[in-house]
Amino acid sequence: MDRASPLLSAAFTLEYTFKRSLGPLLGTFFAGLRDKCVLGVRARDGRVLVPPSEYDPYTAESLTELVPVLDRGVVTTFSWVSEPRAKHPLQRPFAFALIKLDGADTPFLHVVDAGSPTSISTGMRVVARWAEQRTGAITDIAYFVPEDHVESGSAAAANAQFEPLELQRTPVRLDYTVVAPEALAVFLRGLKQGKILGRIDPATSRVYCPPRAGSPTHGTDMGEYVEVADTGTLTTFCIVNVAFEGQVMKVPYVYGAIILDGSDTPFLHLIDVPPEHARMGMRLKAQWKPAGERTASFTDIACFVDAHQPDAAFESYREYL
Amino acid sequence: MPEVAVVAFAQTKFVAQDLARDEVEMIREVVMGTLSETGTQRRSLGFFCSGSCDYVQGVPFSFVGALDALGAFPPISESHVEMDGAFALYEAYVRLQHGDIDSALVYGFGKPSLGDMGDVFSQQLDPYTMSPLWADPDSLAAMQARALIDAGIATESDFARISARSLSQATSNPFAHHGRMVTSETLLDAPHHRAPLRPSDVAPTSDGAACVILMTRDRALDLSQKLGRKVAFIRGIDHRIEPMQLGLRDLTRSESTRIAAERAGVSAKPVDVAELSARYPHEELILRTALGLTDDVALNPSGGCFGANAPMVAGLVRIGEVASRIFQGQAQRGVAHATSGPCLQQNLVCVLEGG
Repeated sequence: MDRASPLLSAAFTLEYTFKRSLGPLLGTFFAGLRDKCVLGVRARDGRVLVPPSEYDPYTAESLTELVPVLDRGVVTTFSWVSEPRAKHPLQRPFAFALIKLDGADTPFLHVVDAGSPTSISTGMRVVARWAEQRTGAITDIAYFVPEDHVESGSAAAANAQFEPLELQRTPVRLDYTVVAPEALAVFLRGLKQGKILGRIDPATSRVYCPPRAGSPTHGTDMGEYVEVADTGTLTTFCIVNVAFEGQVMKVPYVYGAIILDGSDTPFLHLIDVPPEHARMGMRLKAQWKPAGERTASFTDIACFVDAHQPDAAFESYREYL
Repeated sequence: MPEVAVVAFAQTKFVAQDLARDEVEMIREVVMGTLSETGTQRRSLGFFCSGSCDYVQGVPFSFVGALDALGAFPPISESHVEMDGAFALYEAYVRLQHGDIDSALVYGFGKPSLGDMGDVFSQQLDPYTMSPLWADPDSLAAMQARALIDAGIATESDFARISARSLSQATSNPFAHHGRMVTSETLLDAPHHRAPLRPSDVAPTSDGAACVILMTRDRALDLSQKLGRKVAFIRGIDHRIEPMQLGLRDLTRSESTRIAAERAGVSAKPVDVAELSARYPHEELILRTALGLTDDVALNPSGGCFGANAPMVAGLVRIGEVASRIFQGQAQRGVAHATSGPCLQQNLVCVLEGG
């Protein structure tokens, strides 16, 4: 197989739908933001830290005294983003900035909608623009604007009490382009053609299926690709009873390690047999998708099914357990 | 306490996008490189440690799949850090202090071409108050650059001078891919990327890997004699971290680098060469001051990160570049620096001497 074949690549999104527990201090800070109030925490040395820190940065002791600060203050440094990235908070040119709110002793990271790079400067005063919908997040402040764009400010609610929020949703989505390395590309192209390819490790004479880039035991070069059969013996397996997102088969179903005839390593796949019939030593065969539906993907084999052959003797697969 | 030396170093020829090879293949090149150059048997090594970050490649446990490059059977003693390989080297150095093994192999790898590093590194910030703003490293770096200008410590001309020098120096580095001969005047003509930084002030990322072999004194000196060249003893190594919240830090200085340099004994003797993991020119200014480097020190002769900048590898390469110059007799004492986190949040300083 040559490297000059067009590369197999696919878009891949890594996504986390995190819900983070906040704890009492941050829970109160974010409850405050939801009500348009910024809270700082008093450190050991008397300084008011924004955002609040659960532990003193110098003494490490727990900090608990939250104090309200104003929603306006001074830009202590900034950077101008002339071409916002897709995930940036604003989709028009803006500035990231460190902003020290009145009443706070430390600046914090946020954004300033100044309009142009010449309309923002270190030392400039800015005021928060609160988001219409607030959920208890740093983005409850949508952005800051130059103070001279705003009439009057809101004084801090001196005795405001906030019930701490428990959770914060922080969804993360990262996009990648995955490129199949050679061994995987050879394997996937083989699947499209209805073949299952393994690769010989000259150091051990064993056949790895799916194929690998290097000998996992010796770190040396792998050898020739060889075709293995699409029939094999089921070794260990599990019966899946828990439903999860993206599941292909309905629970309960079998997922197991199959030693394909000609291979020395387990091939993990879905097994479409009634769970009560699944057993070690059971002979299985691949159920392929029709040729026209194959896309050089692991799912070109839809699943494995009963091959209706006598069970393999334990001795024939014991070394693969 | 056992003395530890860097006895071998290998790096891939870095590229913007390595379409031909996966992580395993990149790592195999540098691991084989150091083993064959030194005639070392893999099984004679006592410990293996790697630095990488799954989120660079977008693959969970990518460092486990990478073990195919080592041949981890029978089982090996192995560890990993989700950081630059330089920090993996620090772990290996500490492991060797136990005195029961005499060698370790350290590697780092990164394939940032697979993802968007501006997004990825914005998610290593504080998850509650910073990551939801998706502030990319260049945006944060530019804030630190501006802080230097506001403090009267630097100007955009200073930045252009450093970028021009680094890019030009990188042209003589056969492993770099991003060097070009350029003057600071030319660079200053370009519009800003993230004011006050210009596109030429940003070291773009690279795909690649690097590997270092460490040995304790006796075995290192035996090898040195066999190879007919010096090895580079680690005379000091230290790693310090500052708070995540940028507002708790003085962005015009690197206190963590200053302390690490002091603990590593940088100024105990003259320094011939320094390789710093500065991804932007203002970082070089801050680091030079923190390390106490005088003008006669050869600074980033490799071109530094401006020539090649593989996340999780660049710091290990700085150590390797200093070690290489010591191997070849071009330097007797050098300093290497690695960093991690926003705006030089944490810093490692390593002092190497020929022995």
